Amino acid sequence: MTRFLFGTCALSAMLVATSCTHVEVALPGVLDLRSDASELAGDRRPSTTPVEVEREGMDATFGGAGPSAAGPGVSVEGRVWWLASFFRLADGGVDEGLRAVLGAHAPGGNNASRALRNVVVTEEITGAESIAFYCLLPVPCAAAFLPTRTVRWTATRVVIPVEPVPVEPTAPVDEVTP
Amino acid sequence: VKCVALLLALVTLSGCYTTRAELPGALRNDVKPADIEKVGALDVEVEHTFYLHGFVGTTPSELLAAPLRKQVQARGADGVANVVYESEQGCGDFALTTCTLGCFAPRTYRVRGDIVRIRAPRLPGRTAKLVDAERDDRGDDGDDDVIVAQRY
Repeated sequence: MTRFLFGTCALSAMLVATSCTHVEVALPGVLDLRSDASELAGDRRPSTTPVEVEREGMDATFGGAGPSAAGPGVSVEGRVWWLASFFRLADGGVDEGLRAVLGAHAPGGNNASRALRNVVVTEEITGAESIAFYCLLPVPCAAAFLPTRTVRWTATRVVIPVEPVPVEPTAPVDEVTP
Repeated sequence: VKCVALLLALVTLSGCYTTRAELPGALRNDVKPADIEKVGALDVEVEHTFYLHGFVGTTPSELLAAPLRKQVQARGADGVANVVYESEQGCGDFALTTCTLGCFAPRTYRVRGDIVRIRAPRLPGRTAKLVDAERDDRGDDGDDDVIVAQRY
């Protein structure tokens, strides 16, 4: 009886301490709020995405499409799987893909001095996944892996000019004047 | 049958629990560690509730951008380094979602990082640091703990 109570308490504590369907993405580079880079030209140079972060076939189906580019528009998609919404099973991570599209992989090379503007994060459970989840509810083992969550980062890639505009001094917004 | 087919098609084509949040400014790869000075820690936490299995309650695009800008501007800083984006459903929220069969589903979004001053040249474009004046007037900014003292 004591063992059962101890087990129940331990399981409850673990569940309370754990969050469900946790998604975490580390962004490369520095987010500069002084400018939205709206006056810079889009970067149409061919992307030099490393082979290891590209996804095709079953990899793309299960882990998300990964990094892709259409002109200056770039997108990085990943899909995260959990068991019973608690235990992360597989992570089609987007961290490496984001580093690839920003160009942090090859500083000084073709990818040097780039920026991403209009950065948007989209998270969703796709309609197909929802339907699959409800259809598979009678099959507990299958439904336990659904629904997955698709995380997509989209942005416009721009080229940073060799000589940007000079630095402007900034002042705190709450500055008190006598 | 047509209605069911139409409904299925709609559900399949659209997503649920859809979050769409913009980040202000530009993400740069040319700012070196020597070009930044840390002035504080960024910790933005926003909770959003979805309804009816996530079909109702799409997030506003300024969900993360507005509080992020506000915290950076309150420090008189220029940007954020080491940005980490997180989203999760707490255990209580998960229980609530399960008990209500998805009719009421809260989810928490968090952005952490280091608030920094940037010495690297500014990129051409509009500033992303302006805070929505209307929100400030309503007094729901939650920044009451930021106090600036000046002695004469």
